[in-house]
Amino acid sequence: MNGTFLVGLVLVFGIIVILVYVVGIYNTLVRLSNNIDKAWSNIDVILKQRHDELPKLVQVCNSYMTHERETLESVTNARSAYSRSTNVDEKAKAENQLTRALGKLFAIAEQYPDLKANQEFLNVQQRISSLENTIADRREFYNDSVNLYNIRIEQLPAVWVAQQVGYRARPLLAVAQSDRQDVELIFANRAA
Amino acid sequence: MHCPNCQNDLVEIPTLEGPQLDVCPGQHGLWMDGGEVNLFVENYRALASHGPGPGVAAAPWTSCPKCGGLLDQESVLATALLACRACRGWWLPNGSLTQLNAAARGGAAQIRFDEAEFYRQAEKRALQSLTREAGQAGRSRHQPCAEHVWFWTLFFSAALFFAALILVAGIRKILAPGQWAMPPGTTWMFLATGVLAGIGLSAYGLVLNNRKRLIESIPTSAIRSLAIGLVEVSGRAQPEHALLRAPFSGMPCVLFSYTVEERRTSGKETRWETIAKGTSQEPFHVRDTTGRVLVVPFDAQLILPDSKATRCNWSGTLPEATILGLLKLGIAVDEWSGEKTIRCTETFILPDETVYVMGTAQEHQGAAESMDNSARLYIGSSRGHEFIISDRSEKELLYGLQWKVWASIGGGPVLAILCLLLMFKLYGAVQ
Repeated sequence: MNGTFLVGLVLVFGIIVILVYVVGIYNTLVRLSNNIDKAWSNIDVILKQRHDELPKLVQVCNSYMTHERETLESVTNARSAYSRSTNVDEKAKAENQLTRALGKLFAIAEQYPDLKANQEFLNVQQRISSLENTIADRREFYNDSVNLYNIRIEQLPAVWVAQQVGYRARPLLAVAQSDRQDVELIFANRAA
Repeated sequence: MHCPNCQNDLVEIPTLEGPQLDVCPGQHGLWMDGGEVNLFVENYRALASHGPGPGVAAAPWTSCPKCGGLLDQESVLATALLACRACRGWWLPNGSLTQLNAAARGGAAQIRFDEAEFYRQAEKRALQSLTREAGQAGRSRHQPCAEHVWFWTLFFSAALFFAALILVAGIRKILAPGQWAMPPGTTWMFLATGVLAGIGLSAYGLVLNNRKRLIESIPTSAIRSLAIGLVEVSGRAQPEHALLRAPFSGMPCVLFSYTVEERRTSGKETRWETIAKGTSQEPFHVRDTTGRVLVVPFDAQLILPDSKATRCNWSGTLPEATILGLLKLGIAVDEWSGEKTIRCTETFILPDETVYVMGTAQEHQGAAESMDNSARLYIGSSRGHEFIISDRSEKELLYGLQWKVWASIGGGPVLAILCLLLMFKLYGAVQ
């Protein structure tokens, strides 16, 4: 029995240490998962700020770019598409579409010197550019968070805990193939 | 469909006239598909004579709730509305439908409706829908996953089973007479202290492990896009105003920490007793390639290499620089007499040195959201969150923590078990 007591004592210590270690792994997985959600919410905050700037931008551009209706509509449609989207994938797709539309709009605006000289346009353009830099940084941060999570749930011994509690790998924010192509600029007021 | 003004979901409201209207619960307006408006005005033929006109409730860039196209301003019988060229639908701002019906009187049948009632019903249905969704979400959140329950039940059952075995064996041993032949002595006290120390070391190892996991799990943020909350940044340290001077060496720095210890002898024992300790509290900036942010080092844990520490043992006359440093720190040296050995240790962060900071990004009071991060945010301490400032890189920090964790978590239980074994061996519990 004394031998049993000794073995039991060692086992108790071992179980306690393993138990606490497993709890620590679980807590880490919870933190990593919540970090991803927080990272996405932080992107959402900046996207909302950008959306709030778009009406001013379209309003200013409307006065000068009377023949670029299609370009302005694409910005508005992309904004609406984001509002209708319900999950991260759809939102990311809509945002890529909006970023592309805005890039095209700013490129076309170069052909309108009166518009470029408009102070309100310059202010809005600068604000949107600054927000887009922040969005780009936060997208990288989101991908870093997802990467850390995906690595952790595939490492030993966390993989066993992750499988038991149902944690699965999450996708990174990716840029669609169509968005990697150069923007084609068609100017409505181009001289023949 | 969404309201063009507030983007809230439009609520479908049935009407006596037939069609279901899509109404904004925020009372901004309602949507009618092409032709539906004919059912709500007495003289619908009069609607044909309309064209572009001034005045509309919503902004000119508003998108169509149905097809997403741009809505055009139109004026029908002196009623301002927005019309979609693509799908022929109309967005009628609040009150416009009533106004339109009043303007288009004189048909075969009288048409009376209460537009305000449409909005009331929409608001009520939106509220009911929100309440239902919240209840369902709460129920789904609180329903335990069957797999989780089984896993943790088995795990804790096994742990309790083994603990019960040990308890039973221990109680039997305690009740058996003659086992505790030797009275407790000094050795027993040391061994008991060793057991407690082993448990404490294990607990310390777990704390370090948690900190290590926290550092690993937070990616490094670019300063220009910092979000409020626990963040990790890396960059060059720069003073907010003038450079500080380290108290004993006079080194220009942005942050310093000092400890003054005195050697005291008590019989045969000699120990170092801390007589003064502190850290500079002046904020400094951390700048990376994207911007800079203020760091307020109050309550921060400093992890600085010992290689910059300076020590001086005084036995007799203190060096001038050390006396000045002690006086600056408010430590009087006049009453010291005879032989005294003190040890002054200082560590500091030099200007433009690369630092690692993990802390809580918070807003300055009165800061506006439109301001950039360098003006709006600062990094400081927050209750319940780590706050670390180090001139080591994240990789070096993790490496340093790693071996401490292994030593503590590995050594702690071994120490406790060894001391327990010795205790039982001394008192005959192990044969």
